[in-house]
Amino acid sequence: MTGGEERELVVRFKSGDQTAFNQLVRLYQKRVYAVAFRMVRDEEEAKDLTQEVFVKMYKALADFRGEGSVFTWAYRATVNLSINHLRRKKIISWVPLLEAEEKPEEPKEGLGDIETAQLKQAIAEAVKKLPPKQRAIFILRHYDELSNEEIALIVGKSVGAVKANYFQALQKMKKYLAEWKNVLTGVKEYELPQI
Amino acid sequence: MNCRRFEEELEKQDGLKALEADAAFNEHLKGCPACQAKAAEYGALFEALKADQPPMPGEAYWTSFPALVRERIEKAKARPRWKPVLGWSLPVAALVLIAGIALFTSREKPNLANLTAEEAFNYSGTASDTVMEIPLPENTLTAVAVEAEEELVGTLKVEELVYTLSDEQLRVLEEKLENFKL
Repeated sequence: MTGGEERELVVRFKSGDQTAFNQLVRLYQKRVYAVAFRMVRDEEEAKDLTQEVFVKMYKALADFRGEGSVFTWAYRATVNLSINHLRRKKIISWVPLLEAEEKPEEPKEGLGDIETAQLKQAIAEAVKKLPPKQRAIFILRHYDELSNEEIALIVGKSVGAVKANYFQALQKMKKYLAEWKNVLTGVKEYELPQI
Repeated sequence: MNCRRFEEELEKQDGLKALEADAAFNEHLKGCPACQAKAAEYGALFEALKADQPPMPGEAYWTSFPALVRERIEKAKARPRWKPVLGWSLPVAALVLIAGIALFTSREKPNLANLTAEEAFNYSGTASDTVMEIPLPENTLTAVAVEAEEELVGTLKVEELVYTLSDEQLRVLEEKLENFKL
């Protein structure tokens, strides 16, 4: 979808066409969910956060003036809601009686083998160790392949800070996954590119 | 074997793809075992990260998703707006409750000094304080814990309370708890 089409949906929604909002939801629902899941690493919590992002979007669209894109807004809302969700969980974990339940990720059907499931679990644990904003930068850059400029707008940091944070995150991920080195190096032999 | 050029170039050129396309760096790579090892590690890391795909709900879920959002919007409209009236009493209550329960259930008790309950409650901590440095008389500790536990089993639940806080209240509460580590 182009920026023009997106703006048209916003204009239609603001003029009372409720189906335009549904179209916007369908457009971004899976991408929002994927970011939310990678942030919180829990399927149900990610579904809940995804719904919350669109509830907020519904309210925000009334005042939307077309500066920036709905796409950037949705990413920003997802990152902020996820970070706040992680904060709440952290605070709740302060109360031993109510300690937020750490659910181990169940290997899903269709997963290649145990080793892949364990690798996925190791990656999940490594991502959880990244501080929330750095985690968001890593996810948006690595998985969503957004540019440093787009990420800077979303997380409210400078382009330089985004770049530095991404490389710090990358180095940490490599360190956290060091025990998986044998598995990692077994995944693919790095080949020198042909020039 | 301690050449750091690979990581420096990776950051400078902003990614593995750009680095792979850099002829000058590839010349260096051919003769540098340290950088070759780093390249292999990062290449393997990127490859491994591809395995990390989120478990996507089925299409039926996504078809009904806009309706679920609508339902939630309607519920939000119907919800009474009582939060602003309570203001900061909520985070303060949460802080007392959380700190009380954390102290109560902590196995290691802090050093207790000869302060009155009032003095202990009025103690204003600094950012570097830990609970071990905050003197609390035993009777105060017990009183807070008992009160907190009664509150907990009563009508107020910490979890629900924490979810009613605004972003700003949440940030302040988190900051205070960080400075109040056991």
